[in-house]
Amino acid sequence: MTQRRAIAIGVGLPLVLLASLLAWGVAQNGGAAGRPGVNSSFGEVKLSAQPNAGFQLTTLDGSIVSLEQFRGKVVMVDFWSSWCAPCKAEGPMLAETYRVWRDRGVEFVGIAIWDERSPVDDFIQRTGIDYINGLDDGRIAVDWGVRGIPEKFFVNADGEVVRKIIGPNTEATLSRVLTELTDEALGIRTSSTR
Amino acid sequence: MQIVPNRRFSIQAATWLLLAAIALAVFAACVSENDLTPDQRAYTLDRELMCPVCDGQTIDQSHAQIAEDMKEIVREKIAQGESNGQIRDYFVARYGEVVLASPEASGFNLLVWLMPVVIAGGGALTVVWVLKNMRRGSAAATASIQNSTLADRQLEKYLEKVDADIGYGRDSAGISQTTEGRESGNG
Repeated sequence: MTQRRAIAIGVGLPLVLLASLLAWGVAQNGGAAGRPGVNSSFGEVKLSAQPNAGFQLTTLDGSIVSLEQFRGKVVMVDFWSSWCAPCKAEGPMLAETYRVWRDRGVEFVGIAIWDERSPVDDFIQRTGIDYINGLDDGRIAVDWGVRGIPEKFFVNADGEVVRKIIGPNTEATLSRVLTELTDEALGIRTSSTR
Repeated sequence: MQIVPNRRFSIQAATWLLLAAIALAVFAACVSENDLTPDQRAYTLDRELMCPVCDGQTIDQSHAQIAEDMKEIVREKIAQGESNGQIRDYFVARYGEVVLASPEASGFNLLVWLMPVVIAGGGALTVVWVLKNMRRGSAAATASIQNSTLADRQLEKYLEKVDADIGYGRDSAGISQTTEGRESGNG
């Protein structure tokens, strides 16, 4: 082995390995070195909350609700903020979708995070949202592994957290997931397009 | 091989540095979390956990709301008597191992810990190999010069023998006089 080749291997191989590690790390992190707090693109991601995660939320009208009390229903838990553009964009759609699904064994719970009471109240009034909403002090968001907003977790009728969707939804994407979960609760086998 | 003073000093310094590093590592390993106050434990954990929404910042460095929330949770869990390991596990279960500033030294993550050692070792071996080759090349050049001097001496002896055989005398002054003698003999 010539001296030049030995140097090329001694220096080049570690550099290639380092570059591979870096690429792997970036790929693991969804292609971003660090995530901003707003999820601007839609996607279903690996579940971050524990299957048995729960919460005790003080709603905007002052009552306390827990996930446990919705057992038997499919629940969509939405983490959002009044200042987040994708959350604002999907607000009216969420209000409308809830009206369609609330009589089909589905409940929506909105949890406003990293926000303040006044703009939250204002946004809910403007969009006509009439499902339960509360302001989190940050504990629920961390407990559910929230990284950005909007993030939606889906809880099946057995109270297990089963799906997580990030980014802005459309009525179609949301209805598809709700259909799958309500069908599952009724024992109907559907072809999942996850 | 004779060790020159400078080199001996370097070896001694390297040995002391290595011993100091080992002593420091042993000391760090002996300081358990029970020896620290809750505040010290909290600050230690703050530096070990990454802010999930920030660019490469630990929750200690970040002022993002989620980092502040995580700091509070760390302090609550310490107050509840949870160990540092349990608190780390809590965050890892929710945010994955990327929430740890230093990945656990197990499984695939071992690569991250071993790679610098392998790279440093490989680099050192390459340098040693190159230096050895340079030294070998220099020794070969010296040997070549010595060999050529030896060949000159052998040639001189051979010429003396030839002169003796054909009857030309050589005095102790050397080849030039011998050559002159040979030339005068020819004349």
